[in-house]
Amino acid sequence: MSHVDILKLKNDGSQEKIAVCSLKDGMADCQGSESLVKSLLEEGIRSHSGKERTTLFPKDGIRFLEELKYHFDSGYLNATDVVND
Amino acid sequence: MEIKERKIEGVKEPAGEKREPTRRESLGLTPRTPEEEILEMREKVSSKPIRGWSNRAHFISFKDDGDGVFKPLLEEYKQERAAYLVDRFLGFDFVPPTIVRAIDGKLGSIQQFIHDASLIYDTPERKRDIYKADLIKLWIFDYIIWNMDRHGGNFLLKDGKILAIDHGSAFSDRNLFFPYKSYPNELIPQEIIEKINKFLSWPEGIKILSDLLGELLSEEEVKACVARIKKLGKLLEKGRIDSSDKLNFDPKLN
Repeated sequence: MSHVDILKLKNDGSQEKIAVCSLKDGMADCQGSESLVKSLLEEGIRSHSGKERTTLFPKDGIRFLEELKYHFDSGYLNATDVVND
Repeated sequence: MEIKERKIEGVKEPAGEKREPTRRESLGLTPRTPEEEILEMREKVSSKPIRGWSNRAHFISFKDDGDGVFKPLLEEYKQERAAYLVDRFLGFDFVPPTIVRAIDGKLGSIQQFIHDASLIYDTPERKRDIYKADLIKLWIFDYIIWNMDRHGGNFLLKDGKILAIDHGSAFSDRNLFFPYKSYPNELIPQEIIEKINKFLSWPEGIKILSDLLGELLSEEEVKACVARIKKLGKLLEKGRIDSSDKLNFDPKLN
């Protein structure tokens, strides 16, 4: 099963996993921080590339998972690449 | 806002690292804050990669206290520093101190790490109203720096204030402007209008900022940034921006 971890940076430089988005039946299922998951479901994320950046939602499945790392890369909140278990 | 210009006798090299003095440093004029000096001069004692898609960023700890987020990212470090400079000169005061420095042979931006900050996701929606004035300021700031990537993951909350981070996608040459939220027809806080007007009535400040940005960005990008500030000055004469469409204008593309 493919998944992406979303990690929050702590004061000592370590990171805490606050959400996980996993591919299930072609869609991303996000679990974890209630507010973050709600934001992903309702607002989605903007695609990284393309002339017009589209908004992706968990229903967009693997494409959504692949874009998470570009969306969350501030350092304070980072998403891993897609991990294939 | 006053920027104190100090003559610097020679350039102090950060511990263990060498870099060429900038043009302004060569002239002996570099308006650095104490926080910037800490980021630039303190010896690095540890570096932890921040796990993400490419482990691009690092959590840096400095000798005698202080931490930073180091991003040795292609050319993005220039946008990070440029956004901080714009924030300083406008007096918006919500981008953490950010400098350019080489760490372990890689040139990148280092931004002061903000301890005990939270994210908007940590705040229930019903309690987010206290940030409205700062979110309006963020909207305006993102227009000025033509930021095509603002969302809940790249600003912080601390002590009732917003701190803007992650500006690697600012000053873009693409016709894309994506604020976190827009506030058309909302009354713009007087403090923001005053800061913009104060900057616009300070020709020396405009020149200094343009020179500093010119060390990081193209001439076209610098002129476009200043043009956006001037455009805002005109729009804000009414105290509000009546349509978000008015912030879609990028003089560089016209």
